[in-house]
Amino acid sequence: MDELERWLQEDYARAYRTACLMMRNPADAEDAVQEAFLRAWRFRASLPDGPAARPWLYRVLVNACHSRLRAEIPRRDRTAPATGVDRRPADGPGPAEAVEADHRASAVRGALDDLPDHLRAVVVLRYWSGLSEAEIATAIRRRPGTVKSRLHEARRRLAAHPALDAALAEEA
Amino acid sequence: MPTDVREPTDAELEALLAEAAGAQPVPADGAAKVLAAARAGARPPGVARRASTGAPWLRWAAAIVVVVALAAAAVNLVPSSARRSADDSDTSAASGDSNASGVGEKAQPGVASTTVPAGGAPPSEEATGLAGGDAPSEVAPPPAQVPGARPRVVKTGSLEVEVRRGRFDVTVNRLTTLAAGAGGFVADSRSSEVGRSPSGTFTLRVPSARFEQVLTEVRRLGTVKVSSSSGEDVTAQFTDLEARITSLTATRDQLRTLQTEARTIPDILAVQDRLNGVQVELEQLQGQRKLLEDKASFGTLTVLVREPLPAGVDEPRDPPRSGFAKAWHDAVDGFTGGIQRLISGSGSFLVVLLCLVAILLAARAAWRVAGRRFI
Repeated sequence: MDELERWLQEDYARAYRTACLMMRNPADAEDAVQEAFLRAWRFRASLPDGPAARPWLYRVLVNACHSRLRAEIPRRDRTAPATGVDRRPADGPGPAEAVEADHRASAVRGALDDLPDHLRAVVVLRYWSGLSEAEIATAIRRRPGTVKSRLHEARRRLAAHPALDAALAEEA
Repeated sequence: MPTDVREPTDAELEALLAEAAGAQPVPADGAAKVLAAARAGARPPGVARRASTGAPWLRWAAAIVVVVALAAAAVNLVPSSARRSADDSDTSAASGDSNASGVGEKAQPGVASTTVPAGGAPPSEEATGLAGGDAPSEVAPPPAQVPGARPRVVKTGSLEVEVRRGRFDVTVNRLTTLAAGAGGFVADSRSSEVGRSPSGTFTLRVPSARFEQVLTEVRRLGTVKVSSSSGEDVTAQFTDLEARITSLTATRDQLRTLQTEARTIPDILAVQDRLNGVQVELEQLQGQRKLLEDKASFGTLTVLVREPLPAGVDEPRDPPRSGFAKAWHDAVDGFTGGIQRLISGSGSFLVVLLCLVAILLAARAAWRVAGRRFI
């Protein structure tokens, strides 16, 4: 198993959910991850070694998401809210907590949906995918300073978003 | 936006996004499906699309550039003698049917492509160098393009000469004498008189061999204000014309022989038809050769002769101003003068600046196109 396959096995869930947060539609996210992986597979000879591979793969994923968003998704409804309540394990939180968590998740998704694509991408890559600012810069092919300013702008907009504000208060 | 809005911390955002992302169930066989598709050799849709239809305008533009470059290279690289011999073989070896149309199609591109500007220098450069009468005007015939052919150069020149007051008529007579003495003539003459200052434009046709001599003589008639001259080497063009005329003449003779041997009415009519076509083509080429020969044999010199305007006529003066009007006009003059000096002084700088701006805009557009797939 080469490095690319290992990444797919280990990081598929994270990549898929990254695409979900960016595209807001599970089916589109699944297609985007597949497209990204096929791209990476096709050009795997140029895959960097070591830690540099991760931002490279996320760059391919981000590109796939955005190309689909631009080319296909705007022509149809792309919002298909996830329903995770029913799928929670039996030993998880109780129904009341689950409903609250689901409500917060919807609020967060709503706040993310209201962000423009370029801000939503850096937020998702930073706070969900766990990439550093330098890795995000590689992934979106922008300067680290640009990433920093976009993150700042995204945080400012999220803070002003009423849904996220309520979710934060609820979580606190 | 209220000022007391608290930005979420990194930890809070990580927790919220983890909750939002975690609420999304992951397809159990997602990774396996992707891997299977990759191993099966599936292509990502973007790659397939780009490989088949990507950037068609770019490919078309590149193809057009390549075709134009190849055509230009072919036209420039094939020597005129080679083209001439090709024409000869075409017209002599082929039947009369192909001659009548084949030669006609090749005539114009061949003539156009063999025209060579004299010395590679545009007339404006020579005009700049000669203005003010510091250096004698020279039209140096460039080396002939066809070995063994007599060089033929079409010489043209123009002069603006200012003569002393009352010397206009004498100068005109002198121009006529100069042209006639050199074996030429005055082809066109136009004169007018504004106020008490006569002026006129005279077109002299003088033999090319004495063109420079006449030019020098005309420069002595007065003060040269503007001067320009140029020469165009038409040797190759002329040789091409002669070659085509020779081959067409041979074709015409052959057709005449065929006409005498024809026995049936359809044959006679067919040969007559071809003969007429060749004859028309031949006459056209002969006309072109005659015109070119005339232009090469006689240079064209355009002379503008004028007397200086009397004082007070050439520079109408405004009534004297004073006070506010004077200050206002001084300010306007100073402003326009300053703008003129600024523009003239910064000419090269502006050109460089405009080029830089154009390059930056092009680079920015290219960058946007290249990075369109990225955020």
